[in-house]
Amino acid sequence: MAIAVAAPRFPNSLVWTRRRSSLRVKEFRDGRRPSTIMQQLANGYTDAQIEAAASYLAAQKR
Amino acid sequence: MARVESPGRRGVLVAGAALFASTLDARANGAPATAPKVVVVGGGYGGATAARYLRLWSGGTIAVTLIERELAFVSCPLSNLVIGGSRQLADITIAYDGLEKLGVRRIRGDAVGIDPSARIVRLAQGESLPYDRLILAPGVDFIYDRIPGLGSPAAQALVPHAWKAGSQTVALRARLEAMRDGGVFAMHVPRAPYRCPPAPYERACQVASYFARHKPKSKVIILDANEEVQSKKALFLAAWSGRYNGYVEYRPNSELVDVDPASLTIKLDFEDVSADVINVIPPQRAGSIARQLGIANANGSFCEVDFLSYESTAQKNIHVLGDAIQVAPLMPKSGHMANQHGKVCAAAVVALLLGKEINPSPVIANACYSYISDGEVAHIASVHAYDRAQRTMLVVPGSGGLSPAANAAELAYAEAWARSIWFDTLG
Repeated sequence: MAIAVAAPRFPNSLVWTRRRSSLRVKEFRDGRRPSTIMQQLANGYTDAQIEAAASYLAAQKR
Repeated sequence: MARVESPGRRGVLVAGAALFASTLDARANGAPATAPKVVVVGGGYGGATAARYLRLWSGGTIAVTLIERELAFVSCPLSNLVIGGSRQLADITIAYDGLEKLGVRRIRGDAVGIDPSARIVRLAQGESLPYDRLILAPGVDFIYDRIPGLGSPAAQALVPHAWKAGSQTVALRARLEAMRDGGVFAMHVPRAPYRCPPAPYERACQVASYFARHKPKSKVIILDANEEVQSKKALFLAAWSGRYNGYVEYRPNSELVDVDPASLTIKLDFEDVSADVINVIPPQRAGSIARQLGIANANGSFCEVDFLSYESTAQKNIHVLGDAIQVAPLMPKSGHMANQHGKVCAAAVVALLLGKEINPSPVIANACYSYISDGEVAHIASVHAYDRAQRTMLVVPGSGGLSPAANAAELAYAEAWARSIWFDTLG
């Protein structure tokens, strides 16, 4: 099943690769990509945790 | 399904906490008779999420039964919009068939007794269900014995709490619609901890929004037992002195003494407040099934749990989720948090039943959008990690925050949050 964004400008992480998801979250965390809530959430996670989440997502069947 | 959702429009939400739904194809009813058995009591955000992820993460090898008394899930988040008039109850009502498609056996009924030594749950209709692990997600019960005037069901029916979404929500909306212009809506907020810290103040905004549009001579009075607004304080105060100036009056330190349902009067320590419509949110504690079992071991009100598994500290093999638990510091009683409890618990129960290691360092997150009006929202967010030394969940330093101001830009995100978490919880 393809999983698309639920709203305009909402990141479409589930169809991304592990590398792209983790890079995007790190960009939010480091303020390189503007956000409302994503930086505040991403600030709570280490690189290793972000990569683990990205691996989990990339491993899901679609 | 009661709500409209086009396939392929599944939202995604936040990083890290694996909130994202997987589409693992666990076979319905595929578990053999010898499969480990988990019974989940309560199909709200916590219980439904646990049931779903137990099936997903066990690959369908754990037999999961969900006991829920209601026919469908009704979301408390967004239910204030039904009170404000911009949504209908059907918009926030979702069938349980997504769980059943995953192989969850759903029983509509009431769990009335638990025998923890025999590991059996008894249902009101007579059936007894054996379990290897039991998950209780009973939500909150209202402590009406602290409000003598609301002692009877008849009296309670005159003063809707609207703090469990459903017919109560509709009842409060109907009273506001019937109210004359120039009337007063008075609400009472109980002392914390109660379900969903910002929700009373969001409700006040929603009613004020309705009044501003349709009954401009009317007024909202918030009588708060607490000394201050419990969440998003600056955002709500800005709305009441700005957009809703003249519509909302906030009175902190308003300890409730009693309610007279006949005259619609809220009785406080030093004054009585009569209004055209009153809404008393009663004080709350863990649902009765947990209290009867003796596991509400925090002040007799809420249930202490091990935050690695959500297992009760008072009873082996019984886990507790959601608003019924004694929360960790700065952990709100929210639907999002209950969803996260459900996933940590499901992962731990799968590990325990299938002989694997429990995750020693769970991280969970909360996001909550309040609708200041139909067109503007504000969020609060936090991330909570397990602290081994203190054996509790603590906010990760530097994480979390609020919207700087209510705004229209985040409206799409608030909608996406709801769709995402409904899918994550119910499939």
